[in-house]
Amino acid sequence: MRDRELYAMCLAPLVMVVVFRYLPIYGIVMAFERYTPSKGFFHSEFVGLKYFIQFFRDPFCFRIIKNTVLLSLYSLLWTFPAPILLALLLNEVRHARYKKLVQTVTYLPHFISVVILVGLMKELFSSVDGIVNRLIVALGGSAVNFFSEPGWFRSLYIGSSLWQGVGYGSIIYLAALAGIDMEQYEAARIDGANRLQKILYITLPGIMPTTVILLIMRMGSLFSNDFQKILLMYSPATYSTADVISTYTYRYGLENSNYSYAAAIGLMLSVISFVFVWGANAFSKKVSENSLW
Amino acid sequence: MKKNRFGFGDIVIYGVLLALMLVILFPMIYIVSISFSDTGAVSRGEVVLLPVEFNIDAYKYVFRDARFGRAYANSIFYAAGSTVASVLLTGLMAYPLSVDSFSGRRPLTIVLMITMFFGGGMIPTYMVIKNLGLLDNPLVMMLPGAVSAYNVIIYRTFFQNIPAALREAAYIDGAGHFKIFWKVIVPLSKPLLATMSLFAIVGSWNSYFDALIYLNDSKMQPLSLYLRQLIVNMDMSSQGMRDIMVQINVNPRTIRAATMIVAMLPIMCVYPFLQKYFASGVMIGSVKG
Amino acid sequence: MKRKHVKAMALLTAGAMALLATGCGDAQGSESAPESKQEETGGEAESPEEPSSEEEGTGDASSEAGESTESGDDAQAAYTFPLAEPLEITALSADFGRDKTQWADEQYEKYTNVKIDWTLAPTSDVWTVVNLKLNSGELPDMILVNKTLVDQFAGEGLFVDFMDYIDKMPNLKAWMEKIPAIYYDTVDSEGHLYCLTNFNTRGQAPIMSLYRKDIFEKENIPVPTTIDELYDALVTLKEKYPDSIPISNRWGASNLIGVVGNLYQCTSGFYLDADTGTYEYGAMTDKFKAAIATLQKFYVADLIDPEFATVSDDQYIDRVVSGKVFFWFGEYTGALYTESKGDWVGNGKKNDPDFEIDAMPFVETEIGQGQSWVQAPTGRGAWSTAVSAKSEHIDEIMALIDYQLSQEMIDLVNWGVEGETYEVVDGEKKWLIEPEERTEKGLDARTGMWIPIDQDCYDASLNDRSKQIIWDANDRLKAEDFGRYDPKMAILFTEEEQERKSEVMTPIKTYMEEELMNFITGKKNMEGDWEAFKQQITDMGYEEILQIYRDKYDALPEDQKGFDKELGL
Repeated sequence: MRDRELYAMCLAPLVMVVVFRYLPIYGIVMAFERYTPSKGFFHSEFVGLKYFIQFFRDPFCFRIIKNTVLLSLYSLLWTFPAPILLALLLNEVRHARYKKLVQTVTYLPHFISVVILVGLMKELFSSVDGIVNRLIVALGGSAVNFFSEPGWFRSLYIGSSLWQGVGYGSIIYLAALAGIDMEQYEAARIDGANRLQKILYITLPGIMPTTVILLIMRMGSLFSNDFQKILLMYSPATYSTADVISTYTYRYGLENSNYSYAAAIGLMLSVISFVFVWGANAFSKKVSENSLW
Repeated sequence: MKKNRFGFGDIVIYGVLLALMLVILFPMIYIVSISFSDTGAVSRGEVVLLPVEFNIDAYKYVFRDARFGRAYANSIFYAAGSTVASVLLTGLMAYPLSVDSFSGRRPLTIVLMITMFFGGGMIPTYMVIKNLGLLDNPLVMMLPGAVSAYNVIIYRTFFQNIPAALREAAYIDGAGHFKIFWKVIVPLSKPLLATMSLFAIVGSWNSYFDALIYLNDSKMQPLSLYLRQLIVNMDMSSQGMRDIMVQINVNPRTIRAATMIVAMLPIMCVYPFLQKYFASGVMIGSVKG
Repeated sequence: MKRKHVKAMALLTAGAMALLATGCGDAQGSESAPESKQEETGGEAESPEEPSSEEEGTGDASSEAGESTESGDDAQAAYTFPLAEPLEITALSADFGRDKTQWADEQYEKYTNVKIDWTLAPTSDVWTVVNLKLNSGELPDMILVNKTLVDQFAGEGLFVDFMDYIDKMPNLKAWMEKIPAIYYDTVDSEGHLYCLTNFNTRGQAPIMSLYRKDIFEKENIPVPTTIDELYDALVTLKEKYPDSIPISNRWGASNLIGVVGNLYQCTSGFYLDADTGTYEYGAMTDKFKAAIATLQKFYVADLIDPEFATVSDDQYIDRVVSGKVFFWFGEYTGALYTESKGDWVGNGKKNDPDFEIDAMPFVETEIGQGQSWVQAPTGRGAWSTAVSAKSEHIDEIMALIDYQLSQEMIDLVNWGVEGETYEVVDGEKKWLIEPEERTEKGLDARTGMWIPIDQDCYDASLNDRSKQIIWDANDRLKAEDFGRYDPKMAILFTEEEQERKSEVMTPIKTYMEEELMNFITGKKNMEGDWEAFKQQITDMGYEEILQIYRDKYDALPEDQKGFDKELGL
């Protein structure tokens, strides 16, 4: 059985996973109890689904779920394809130096902390003296109070993510592109394929497995957003689009320091995310050869 | 490849990328300029693109502490260690999962995937780490995060992309899986390994939370934690009163900017070394023969 | 942060931060060192210098109560410092931006012969770490805590009760007499004091109304005394300076609502009302409605920053120093004139040589004199020190904590060593070193669990003009009593009640915050829509929580009701 060798190979990493991920997993019980440190995980008062029910009975429950999902969904629509597009463009650049320059520059914003990023955005988009609004006014429009308009929140959030992450995100696709056999391009060239054809028939299929896998895994984050960033960006004026599950739970926690409520919501979202990934995977399996398992 | 002339399509592509660079560069330059400007000039709004009343006070503030050098060294050590651990362990985990005939493939993948969604939370994890005696141990910065399901899946996907014929050829030649992994898979996966090393380095470099809760000894602090102290404290002062700021005599904005740049520099230096691996293709064909 | 009655969130944060900024003394260093110590050592029998209670509090400065060995009646210190035998203890605290390895820390060790093995967490994350330590039962000898955590964990016998040692802590006793809040802030219903709140040697200036003196004078507008005069004045100014933003704001909408609420003697949340003598929910009161109506009137007339809910601190400062802002309902004065480059007036003058900001009395409103948020001298238990009951050195640590409260140590950790880092001129301490060097020596970052902060030391970083403004404000506060004070005792909730409160109040607050934006910006009108707004909040069930507040307040002993006015200004 050659399998034995394979098992031996993944033994060490598996031990890590078991030790660091599975041993602590008993912490999940916290979601079903009113956790009191003195009583510990196994003797705290059991409250069953209390916190789950509490969440669904909240008058803002529907809104925060909707906001959470919409924000992630729109994010997905923009920030998922953008790095692929950038990678494709870079792949078409023939001057190695220019290519490296673009790569390096686009990779930089990844390191801007969210505090600085939001600070910068507020200055740029200020309705009083921001450059963007000056431009709008100069072009004959009227100034927009970007940060107080619920309608602009998602655009600002996603636009800045795009700006910050497109370069960094493209790296993985560049790696995938690097794996494509150069001989294929050579063959295509001899066959007289034009640029578009080469992209469609060689490049895209070449990165397809990576793309599909990343997309499936991305399905698992439909319920998570950059909480810190939202907290810095939103205000009561934009709650109607910006208030998401994590920010609402955060305000919930300001009143009391109970871990259990947050744990319950976290668990619930995990389950839903898991189901989503499962579904996406099943779908992908049907229509393509790519699947997680 | 180089035979085509520089056509209209190229102009568009080069132009688009140029525009993208400009959009990214201007704010970046602005941040750099702030870090080198006089604090008063910044609060008077005089900094538009270039530094005003050039000085390095903000950097002096960041560097002032003896902790800085130590934190820097620690960070390099942690980044190196966790990158090696991550790449090695993830590779070892991913390879078996990429072998179609492997009986453990599906169950092990699911075991892994579960960890992507479910965890015990901070307190139980802390207890486990504590019971293992890993508190205040450098290993705690390298091992717990070494095998992530997400990365394993990405590695596996890349490995699967390598033509199976190559593996099978080696297999028939009597090579074991370990040998195939080392001699065939690893050399062909250089772009992936370079990319994932970069991600691991960046991840380790930016992460502070593990250090926060697992390292009590301030001598072991990484740079990220040190810088976080600078930045967040500045934030706090600005939330309540400017008094702390008044006392240290520097505008938080200049320090925030300087802090960011200090944190970024080493990563920027690493980048070109790894970049060459994923910026150029691998000639799979040439290995084939 | 643990204040139980609700005030405008930002104000609350601001208040607590202010305390934090000044409320977390560093006690390292020591000054006229070993000698005075020996004296003390010999002296042991603390000469009881009559630490009379109340008067001293309000009376003059810190020096009295702190005077090293003054004690309450018969309290005696159990140890003398430096200890004969070196002692090593462990401690966890927030770092407040520095390591404990600087000059001041060396001095501290020299003076006490106590070596502290610190775990320092970044201030922003310190509560995560503290929580974890408490939950895992792995306590250092001394740990930074807050009142909520202590209430949660004290039942488990984790902490030492300070009251058990009070007779051996003469300095603490004296301070408690000077500032009773040190006791009331953290004492539990059974009289246990499981943690010791941070405090300052005296209270800080109230937040003040400010105005652009030069502009008002230039346009011949007298300083407004009523809200209507203020409105007219700003309207006039806005006409003359169309690009101006007469009123800006930072820290979110709640901050603006908070300061204007103070003018109307209320807040948006639960608060102890001076008129009714019990707890009220702000949004339901007529005062609050009047405050919001005023905000709306100002906003609609373009007098308030259209971005008042979202401007960042940076933008706010830009607007102030570039001369766009003419009036502040309530603002800290520390940054007006300072020794540093970051001050408002100094930078403002670079743009406009006439630039001048001054404080002014609160304007009168429909309901009377406006009030100011007053910064109490204590941290209200939000940043406190607890001692582990499992420690092997409890006696020594208690003695150490008490020693820190002596004048000698207060001077040391705030000012350093006389003749080296500061001098005394006419009984007033003056810095001999530049701010940069203070930072280097560790005399600036008000780190961790060392208390108290010497308010004089803090004030010394301001210039004379700023100090004058603050002193004037303090004098007026004493004379006119325009302050909005904290309740003497915070209302504490049990865990179940806390949970219930989250459940009920989180949606209410969310709804309220959103609606208030609509009212202020004029999207909803005060006449037609306010009743519906109130009805909605009632339907959402705020009364249940208000009732808890009231019941708990009623149950307090008489001497713990009312407001804490012991500011020791």
